[in-house]
Amino acid sequence: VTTHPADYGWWLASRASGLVALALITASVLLGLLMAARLWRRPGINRTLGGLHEHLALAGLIAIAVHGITLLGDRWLHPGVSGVLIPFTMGYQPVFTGLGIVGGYLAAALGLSFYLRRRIGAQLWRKAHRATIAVYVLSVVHTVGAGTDAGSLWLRGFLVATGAAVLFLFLARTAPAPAPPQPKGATP
Amino acid sequence: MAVATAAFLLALTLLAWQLRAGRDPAIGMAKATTPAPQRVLVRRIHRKVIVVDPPAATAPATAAPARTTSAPARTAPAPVAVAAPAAPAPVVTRSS
Repeated sequence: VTTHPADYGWWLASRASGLVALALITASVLLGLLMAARLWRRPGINRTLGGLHEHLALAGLIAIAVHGITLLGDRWLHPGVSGVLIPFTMGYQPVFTGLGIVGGYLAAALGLSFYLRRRIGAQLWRKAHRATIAVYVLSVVHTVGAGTDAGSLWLRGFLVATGAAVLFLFLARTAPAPAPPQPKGATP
Repeated sequence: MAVATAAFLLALTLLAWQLRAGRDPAIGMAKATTPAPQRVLVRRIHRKVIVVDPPAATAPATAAPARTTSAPARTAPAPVAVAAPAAPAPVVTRSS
């Protein structure tokens, strides 16, 4: 077993792109939840955040694609095209890699549906877009289950910190709105 | 997009450095978990055997049977074979 990075170029590139994809998806989901929470009321802020949210999502999709493509060149894992494209068929950790592939497809479908929202209807698109949280969950499960760096302290710290923020914002988003105050003198 | 590319290059560099330093979670761990040669427990057994020989004069090896030279008579005593006293068993002490 050598430790020269040149011997593992594809594998290292796949890991690096996977980590970047995770970071970009997390940032995109966090930003989307923050926008939904309407914490900032300044005019035009939602347009700015929306543009950033879109860019992060697109960059995340590209990173996911690079993650899969570079894995094809890895001579140790050699998953093959079918192993990268068809969920649960890879020899290495088939369940967790399969969940990652499903998450990738879901990210592509939900992310790119933004450009079809006029065709499919804004309301339907908005409902479907709420399922993006599943992409985040699948990516985290995939990272923890199949990621080489899953045991690293820095990655665990990242996952715990961002996971807590995502969970908090998601619960705040899905919690029922408080009932409006009853007018004085009103009887139930 | 430029930030994402920079993040990718940074992550790639860090992972390569980690691998080069032998601290990669997969490759480094594979080296660390290589089974070490098993320690062979060498047990030395010191065996001390003390054989105490009885003095030659006091212990007749074999007594010749006593026979009478006269004609054999029916009353002649049967040859008496004197059995040599058994040599004392060697004292064996063992220590390990």
